[in-house]
Amino acid sequence: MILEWLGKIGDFSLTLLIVTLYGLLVGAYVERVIAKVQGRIGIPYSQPFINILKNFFKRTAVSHGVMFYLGPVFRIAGGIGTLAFVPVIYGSEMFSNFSMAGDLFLVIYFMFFGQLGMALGAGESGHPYSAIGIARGLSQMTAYEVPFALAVISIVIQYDTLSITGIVAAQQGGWQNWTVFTNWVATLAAMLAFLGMMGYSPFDIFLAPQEIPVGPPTEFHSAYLGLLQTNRALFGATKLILFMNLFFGGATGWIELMIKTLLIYMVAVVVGVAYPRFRVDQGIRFFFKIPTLIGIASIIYVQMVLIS
Amino acid sequence: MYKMGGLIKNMPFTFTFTMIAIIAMSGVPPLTGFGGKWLLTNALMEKGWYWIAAFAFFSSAVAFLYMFRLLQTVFLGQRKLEHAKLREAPAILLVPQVVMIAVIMVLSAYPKLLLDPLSAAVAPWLGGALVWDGFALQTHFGYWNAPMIMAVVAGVWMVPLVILLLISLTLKIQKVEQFNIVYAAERPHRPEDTHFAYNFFAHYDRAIGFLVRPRATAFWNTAVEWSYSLGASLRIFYNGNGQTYALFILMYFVAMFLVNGGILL
Repeated sequence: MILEWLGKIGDFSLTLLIVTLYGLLVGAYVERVIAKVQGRIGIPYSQPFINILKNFFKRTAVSHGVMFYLGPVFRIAGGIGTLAFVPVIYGSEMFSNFSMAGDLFLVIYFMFFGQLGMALGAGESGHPYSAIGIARGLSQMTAYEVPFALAVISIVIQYDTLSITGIVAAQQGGWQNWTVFTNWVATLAAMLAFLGMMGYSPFDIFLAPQEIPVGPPTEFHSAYLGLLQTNRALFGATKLILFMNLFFGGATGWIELMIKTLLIYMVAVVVGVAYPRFRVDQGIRFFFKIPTLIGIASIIYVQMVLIS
Repeated sequence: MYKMGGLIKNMPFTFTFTMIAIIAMSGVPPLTGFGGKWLLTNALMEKGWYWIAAFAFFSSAVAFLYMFRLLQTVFLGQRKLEHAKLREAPAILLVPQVVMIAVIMVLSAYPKLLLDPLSAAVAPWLGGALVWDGFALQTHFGYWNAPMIMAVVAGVWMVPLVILLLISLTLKIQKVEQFNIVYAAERPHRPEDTHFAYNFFAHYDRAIGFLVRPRATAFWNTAVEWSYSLGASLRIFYNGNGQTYALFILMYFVAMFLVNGGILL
């Protein structure tokens, strides 16, 4: 029993390492793509690694209190935990992580864990810009969850299971079985929610990446920021893997996973470089209109067309 | 609430218990609230009440918003100057909270302790017992293994904490006082200017706030408006002029004469 758990923890550590490294590399690649679009050269591929190492090896730091100290811990625990509950490679016992502990609902609800911890940590810093970033981020999150939840309900009806492994299994046997082709309505709603989830323009105001610090991480520095940067790569990659599993047939190997997730990521990047930024209230209204209607249509579609 | 703020420094235990309660209530795993939401959503899906399931999901996301606001407004942000000397709640108030938090923790790790008696109690009327596979609860759609989730979350929480603690050994961490932040290129000195809590979700209000504005006042104002304009239209006939009324009486007799005299019919 104990050996079994140790083996599982070892396997998951390997998954974690691969996904984090991949997340950092793909993040650097996306930064380079965005730079090219804007007529810049962009960062070298080593830059995210250098940033994190630099932050981890800073010699001094300040703390605003215990919750401030624990905020980044909660945040990255949210990222690692979400990855832990998502099976990464279909058909591989080694990379199925701890997906036997819970189903798709667990993953969706667990995404809130890191957000809550981060919000608490940033709140204790007492910086108004942190609190404004949190208010914006949380508001936007609840808005994009609506089309995403509708799309998820639609595919749960379609595949008659909440198990992510089960959903991937139902999409095997050729590209024509992927959700994006069998239930394109739900995929469309989810991909619109995905734009908000990834935090690129037009839904990037809560992080406000171009401005002098505004947003939840405002007061975080040194090792705290190192943890947050690691989490951003890891959590971003985890969300891509989740979308790949739900809508694009999952992956049976790491190369397939990397190609598919990169292409999914590019949806957010292409929209991001092409469109200007929404205010938060405009973003919320956007998600409650067309994407929500498409989400509702996806449930009707699956009931009328797919399972009747 | 927004007259408070920053009370985490004075009341760390109350803050911790509130935080755990809010994690449990808002349905964030691994605490009990998630179990309730998971069971509810599964039941709704099994019944085929998909729309209600979608609404339930949205409302739990929004619940997360307003419950976070309690923590942010009262315990986080900037403490008011007059609250600097507040003390932690007395033990007589804290001990029951500790007991209840302990119950939440135990039930989060072993929901079977609560679910089995509950399920046995309602079984004679509702039927349909819960299906357990070891510690995992099974439904038609999914599964939920609470002890395992608790263990995994505890594990993934401890690892970065240990890493940060190890880094903290070499890192000189200076504890800073209130207002030790740079905001709008100056160091703030009044909590009233700096504690962001009032109208916290203004964006939501701007986006869909019109849905919850009170309608009754607007309705009755419109009713008054319509009554006035209707009255104004009727004033053409009922205009207070004796000659007009005399004309009406004359027209009445003419009409009677035309009808009764058989001239028209």
